[in-house]
Amino acid sequence: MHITEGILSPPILITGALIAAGGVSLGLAKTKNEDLPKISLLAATFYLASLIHVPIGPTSSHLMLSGLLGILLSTRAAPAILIALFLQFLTFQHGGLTTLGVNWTIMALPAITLSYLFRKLSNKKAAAFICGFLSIIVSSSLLIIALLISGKEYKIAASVIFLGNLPVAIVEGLITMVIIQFLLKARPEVVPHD
Amino acid sequence: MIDPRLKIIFGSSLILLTALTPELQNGIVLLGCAFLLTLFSHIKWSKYLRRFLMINSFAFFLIPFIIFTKEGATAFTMGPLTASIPGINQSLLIIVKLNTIILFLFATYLSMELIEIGKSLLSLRLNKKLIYILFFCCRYLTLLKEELQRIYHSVKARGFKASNNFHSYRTIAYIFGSLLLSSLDRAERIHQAMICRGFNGQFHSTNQLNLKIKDYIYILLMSALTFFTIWIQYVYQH
Repeated sequence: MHITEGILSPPILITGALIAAGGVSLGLAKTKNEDLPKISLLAATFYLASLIHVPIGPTSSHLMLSGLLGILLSTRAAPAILIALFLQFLTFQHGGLTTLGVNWTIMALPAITLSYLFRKLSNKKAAAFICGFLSIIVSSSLLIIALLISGKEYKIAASVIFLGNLPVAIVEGLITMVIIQFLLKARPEVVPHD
Repeated sequence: MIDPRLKIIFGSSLILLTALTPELQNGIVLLGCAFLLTLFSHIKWSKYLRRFLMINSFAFFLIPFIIFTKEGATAFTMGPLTASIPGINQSLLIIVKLNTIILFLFATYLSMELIEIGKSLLSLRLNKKLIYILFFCCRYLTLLKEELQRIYHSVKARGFKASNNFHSYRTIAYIFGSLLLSSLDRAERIHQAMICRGFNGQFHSTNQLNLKIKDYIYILLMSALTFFTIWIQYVYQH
């Protein structure tokens, strides 16, 4: 879901950077010093998730866990995802520096928005699945929008990417659901309730 | 060692300017400059070649779509598909831009350790909470990787094989869940230990980053390169 350098047009890059700057500032304003260990840890988890390969059909894909981060951190997932994306770029050049803002918008916006949905729903198991599933779907949609605004020639590629992400979304939903179920049983205070 | 802050500033400027490259000819000149810069940065090409291929793989995935769907004068036909000249131009521009940025990255950011980058960002007045997250994310990554490997070995010893079923997904999820919980406790303990030792959100660096002669030479050369980049793209008209 990360876009590398050189593909998107400059207006998209600038828009993404502005949205990311706003989102991260908001997230940092809501971050207290006591939250920082949890945020750093979940940023590291997000980073590691992209290294774990999960078999899907004939191939394998990597996890994203943005839905999980949104559920556990809400608005404070903003700085976590930014730092994780920055580190992913620095260490194995996944994503880009100029596309940092766009990649943040693609991953963090759905995660944070859906976390509010998680708090509203009473069936936490279903809510976790929906958050995990929809965060991939919305992320793919944002990616497609970014590509299409950059150029109409990306239309077919965009459809291929979206269709390819549908099974990933289902698996992500299932894994997020089980992780939240596990956390609710083992340490319920980690998962924010309404 | 060159002051890492300078590398970050110049690296970021060059990468940003490259991303805004409008024409293929300018891009090729920049690619040459970036390549020359890496020659001075002691890069081990064998180590980075695989990474280069991986980074280019997404661009190569997009390129056939661009070549055969972008409208314009026909370059060649391949059965029912028509390749356009603007499509080929755009694909080449993407490849050139992408690789130029990666080369600039290798010459600047990747010639430093992550901790150096963190210290420089602290010195450049990045938000202290972000610096905390950066430093501790790096720290926890090593711990999490070790813990993950330990759990994964024990799971494999019990005959687990990742496949396409809910049992596999559930096992992976439980692994992540237990990893999260044990690491969360550790993170809390580290944070409380730091507070016991007087941590109040302020990071203090022991070495003062002073600029030396070689830093000034670096500033001179990199400024020249940056101005050349701006000139060749926006001022010099072919």
